[in-house]
This record gives sequence, structure tokens and C-alpha cells, in this order.
Amino acid sequence: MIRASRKSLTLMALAAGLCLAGGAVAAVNAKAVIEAREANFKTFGKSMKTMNDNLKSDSPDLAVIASNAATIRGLAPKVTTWFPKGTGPESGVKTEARAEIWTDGAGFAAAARRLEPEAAKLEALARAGDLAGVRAQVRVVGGTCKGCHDKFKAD
Amino acid sequence: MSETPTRVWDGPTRLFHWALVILIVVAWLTAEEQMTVHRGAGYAILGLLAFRVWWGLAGGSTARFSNFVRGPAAIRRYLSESREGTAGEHAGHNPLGALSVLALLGLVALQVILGLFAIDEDGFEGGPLSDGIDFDLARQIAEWHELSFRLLQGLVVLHLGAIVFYAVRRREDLVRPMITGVRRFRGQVGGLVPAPLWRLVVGVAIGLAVGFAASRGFRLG
Repeated sequence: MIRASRKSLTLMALAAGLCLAGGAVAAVNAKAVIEAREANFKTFGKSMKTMNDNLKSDSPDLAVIASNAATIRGLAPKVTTWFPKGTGPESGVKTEARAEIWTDGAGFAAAARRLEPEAAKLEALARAGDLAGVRAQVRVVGGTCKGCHDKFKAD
Repeated sequence: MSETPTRVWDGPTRLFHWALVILIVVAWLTAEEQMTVHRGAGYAILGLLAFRVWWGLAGGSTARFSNFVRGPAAIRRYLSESREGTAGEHAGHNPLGALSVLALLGLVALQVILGLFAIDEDGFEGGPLSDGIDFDLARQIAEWHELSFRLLQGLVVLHLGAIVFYAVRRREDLVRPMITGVRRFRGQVGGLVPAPLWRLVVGVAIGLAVGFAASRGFRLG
């Protein structure tokens, strides 16, 4: 009787320990995932800024704009994979990702998927040397960022 | 008790005050949303501040820094006289109010200057000088731009609180004089000595030039 309860106590303690450890691992993972995706979004922001700074200058460098558009185009299809379950506000890690990303997964995916084709278009316009087209298309790409952020990003 | 109506604020100072109120509200409401309007409000505020500095040096007597900015001793004296109820009446800013004016003007200046360099998270909408610095720094400045606005909101609340305090405890209406320019005093108080018109013309020219230069990112030509 005593032996049995001691055994079950040990088991319970073990189980509790595992749960705690599991929670800690999940927390560490959420933190790493969130930091990685923030770094990726920063890459988008940097590329956008470089393009916009170029367009503001007296002699915009279309090659630089094309390569930054390519950076965005290359990363864009991965956006939805940066938000695994458990990396939202409920993770306890500081994040501006809103719960709607997971409660409205289809809406989020649709908004995020708008980026790649628009960035590809921008890249093509820059490679074709169409400065006026680039100016207009940069606004479309920026609007894609904002369109998704308005709904799915806090602040 | 006879009350003497006395001119305390000249027209340019009042216009400056209310234009600043309107522009700050506009900038607040358009932040992060209508950035073209937001930037425009910022340029106009910068122009207004430039005008106010000029007016503080060359404007009507009550607007001049040299007439209302006082040292800590004068502020302490004003505070203790206020508690005893022996503080004299002031045409213009009292020594304590002067601190509030300087803090408000300084913080509004900091606010617009930070805005010149700030950029949004998408690297898309930014101040006219954000292209001279890298994304990380411009984002950091954008955070400061937000933080300094919170401080500014706090100061405005303090400003409004002081107005309510004077209205309730002192029975002194400070809002009306900022609209009409005229205040009624119980005793005889030396009022405003207005500035000649040409100084207003120079001030408006300075304000317009600074606002316009800011809108071009200070790149002229």
C-alpha cells in the first residue's frame, strides 16, 4: 500500500516535472520563433526603406531596387510558416502578432500571400527600367504590408 | 471691486497658441494612418515653433522669453506667495507657468524633430530625413517619437489641470484671455506692450521658410 502510493507519487512528480520541462521547451521555442520572424520582417522593412530612399534620391538606382524587390519576393512565400501555433500572444513572449492570425487562418494566409506576386511585379518593373511603374508599384507593395498589419498586427 | 480690462496677449501669440492646438490634434489623429497629412502637420508645427522663437525674442512684451522666464528663486517666491495668497497678479505668464511654457515648447520641438527622422515598421512611410539614416536607427527614433508624444500628452493634461485649478481655486479665467487677448485684473497691472507690425511680417516669413524647408527635407535647390 505504502509502496504503491510512493510509486505513484514518484510517477506524479515525474509527470509534473516533464510537463514543466515541456512548457519550458515550448516557451524557449516560441521565443526563438518570434525572434526569427521579427528579424525576417525587419528584412522586409529594410528592403522597403532602401527602395524608397532610392526613389527619393536624384538618381534612383533601379538595380538596387530590383535586388531588394527580389529579397522581398524570395521571403514572401514563407511568411505564413513563421506563425506556428503557440507563438501568439498566449505564449507569454512579447509579440505583436494578434490572435486573429490563428482564429482567421484563411484570412491571414490570403493577406500574406498578396505580397509575393506584387514584389515579383516590382522586381520585373525595376529590371525593365520602368521608373514610373516602379514608383507606383512600391506603393502597392507597401499597401500589402499595411493591409496585413492593420488586421493581424497589434499596435 | 473694480476690475480693469487689460490687454495681455497679442494677436500673433493667441493665433500661435490655437494653431498649435489644432495641428497637434490633427497630427495625433492622423498618426500611422494618413501620413501625408501627419507630415504636413509636422512641417506646419515646425514653422510655428520657429515663429514662436522669433516672437519670444522680438514679439509683444508678454510673449518675450526675457520677460517671463525666471530663475528658481523667483519661482520659489511665487509658490510661497501663492500659498499665502499674496502673489501679485501677472499680465502674461507667472514664474511657474513660464516653466510649463518652456517644457511644452521644448517637448513639441523634440517631437517634430524626432518625426523628421522616424520611419514606420514597413520602411514605407517616414519623415523627410529618414533616408539619411539606416532602418534600425529610424525605427528607434520612431519609438522615441511615440514616447515623447506620451510625455507631451502628460504635459497637456498638466496644462489643462492648471487652468482648472486657477478657475476653481483662484476664480481666474485663463482661457478667455487666450481667445480675446484681454483679462480683467482686480488691481492695476501693466499690460501688453505690442510689437510693431514689421516684426510680425519677419516672423511669418521665418515660419513659412522653416516649414517649407522641412517639407523638402531641408534640401533646397
